[in-house]
Amino acid sequence: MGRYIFRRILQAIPLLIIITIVVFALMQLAPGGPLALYKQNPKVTGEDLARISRNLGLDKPVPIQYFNWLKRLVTGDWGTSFSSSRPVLELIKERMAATFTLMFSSFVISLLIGLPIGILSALKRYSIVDYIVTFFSFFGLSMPVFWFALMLQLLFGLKLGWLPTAGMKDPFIDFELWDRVRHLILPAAVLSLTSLASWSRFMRSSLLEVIGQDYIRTARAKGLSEGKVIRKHALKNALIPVVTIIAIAIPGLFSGAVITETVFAWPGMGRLYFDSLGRLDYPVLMGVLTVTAFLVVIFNLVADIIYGILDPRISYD
Amino acid sequence: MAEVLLEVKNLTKHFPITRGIIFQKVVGLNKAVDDVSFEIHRGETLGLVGESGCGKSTLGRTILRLLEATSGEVWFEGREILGLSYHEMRELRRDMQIIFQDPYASLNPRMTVGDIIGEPLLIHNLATGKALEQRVKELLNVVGLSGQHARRYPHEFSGGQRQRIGVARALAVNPKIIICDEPVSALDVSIQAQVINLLQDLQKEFGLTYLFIAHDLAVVKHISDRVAVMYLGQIVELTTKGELYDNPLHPYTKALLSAIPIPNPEVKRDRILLEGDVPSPINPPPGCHFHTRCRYARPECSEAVPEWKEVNPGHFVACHLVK
Repeated sequence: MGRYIFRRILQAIPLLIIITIVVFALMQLAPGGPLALYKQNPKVTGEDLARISRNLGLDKPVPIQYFNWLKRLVTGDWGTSFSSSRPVLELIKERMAATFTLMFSSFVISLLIGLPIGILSALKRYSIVDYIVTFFSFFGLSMPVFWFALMLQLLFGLKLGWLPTAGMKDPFIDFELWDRVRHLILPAAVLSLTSLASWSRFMRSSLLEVIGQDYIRTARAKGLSEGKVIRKHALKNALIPVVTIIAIAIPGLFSGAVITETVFAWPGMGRLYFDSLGRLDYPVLMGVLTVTAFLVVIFNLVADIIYGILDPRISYD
Repeated sequence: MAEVLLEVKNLTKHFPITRGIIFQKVVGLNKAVDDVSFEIHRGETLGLVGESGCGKSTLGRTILRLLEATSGEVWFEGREILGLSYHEMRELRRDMQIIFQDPYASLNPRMTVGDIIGEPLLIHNLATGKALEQRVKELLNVVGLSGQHARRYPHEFSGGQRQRIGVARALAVNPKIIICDEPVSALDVSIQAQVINLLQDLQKEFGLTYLFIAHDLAVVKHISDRVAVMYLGQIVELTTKGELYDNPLHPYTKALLSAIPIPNPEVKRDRILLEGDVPSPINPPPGCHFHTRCRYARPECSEAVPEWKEVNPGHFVACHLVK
């Protein structure tokens, strides 16, 4: 197992390099360019632009620019934000806690609600309960996140006034648990909507498939009670694919966070990304995208490892 | 003759065919098992043969209440079991076990062989701890595997070995009757013989009673004391092995027997080729179900259901032509 993990990490390195090349190329293709911000300023002369360009290394050929960026990335220097002149790594670190709080809450909500209702709707297949769960699952999957977020703000924030729509206190300055929780409820609900719906569907179909297997009939023939048949034989097998799908879906929560954080003015990486996009702040954009790529690679590895632990038929040696 | 261990009376299993998305209505019945009666004596092997889809497996599962019967009675040791409560039935599973057809799909892939075989002992409170381990080892040895295999998972075994695990699992609770639901049809021919011989040895050693379901007539001839022939949800003929193979009375039995390959190319014989396919059990033909393919069919065959009668002592047949 240790050898397998080591090999997979080695394999991830070229993958990450390819991802950074693609990300870098996309940024080069984006309209505007890093100097667009300065060009709007009438006081900046052509001479100034040339100097800035030289300082940022933008006068060099694109491949050289890429290697310079990669070299600094590895050594921990992720560049400086154009708009705030602060180191990118520092900006990301600052925002990370907020994003992970949001992601973790949504993850827990999706898990604690999505899996049980999936199990329930599989066990009561074609019943009223199943139809209701199915209806809301498809509702959740097809609902545009930004619109749903706005509707919740409208209802709970403006009409009922129960929950704040934005404006969480900066946790580094003034940490107050109740304030955080109140601010967290709506964005976490919105962010968990899609994953909750899809995980409940996965759970339902996986459990239904296992219940139809011959070894479930074997378990009944042994004389086990129906509850034990489901818990010991059916669920244990049905969870294998679900756990893997969930592990792979975790980075998806991060991309969902971009929209959710923006709508709720949540001080996380998602909003940092969205804001930087508007300001054409290339170093920050590159930094956030690299973090995302890392998350995807890491959670895919985690999914494979979990699969090996849960399913005795898979061996990695 | 030994006492009756299991008696099946007018057992019927119909699967409803439904249409409709929200409001489902029954538009037909799949008559998988239709009014079947027979007895199994203690210590004997009753073979049950028939084509694919004739309801053999459904019959076996309905007897064990892995499927709930539509109507009829099943008596086991003087007790009617279709009316037993869920809890009583679970306890009765100690005495009535089943070996499944597919040795690959019928073992839980996430449990070790030791857990698979040991679980029935645990839930019926027959053994725990060291005694359980010892019993699992014993069972593995009985079916020709080694005690060390208990720690492995099913996927590490071949088909024949997996079926031996299935046999050990069924045997674990010391059952009185085992329903063997095509236990060898998924195995290679060379392995089939091993598993059948194992089943025969176990029968002698533990005094087991078998209902042996198969579609292979040669296998059934080898293992059975008496044989029942099933066609489209009904038993058409039932008698001792010798009588059935030497003196078959029902035209369907004759056709089946003529299809057994003889490993001698010199032998010439008349094969009775059945025309057409097995009719659907959803709308079985009226009268005798077999009349659509019977070369001797007469007008009465499509009108009246033939009576189930004992033509010779112990030789039952349902056919208008047999007097």
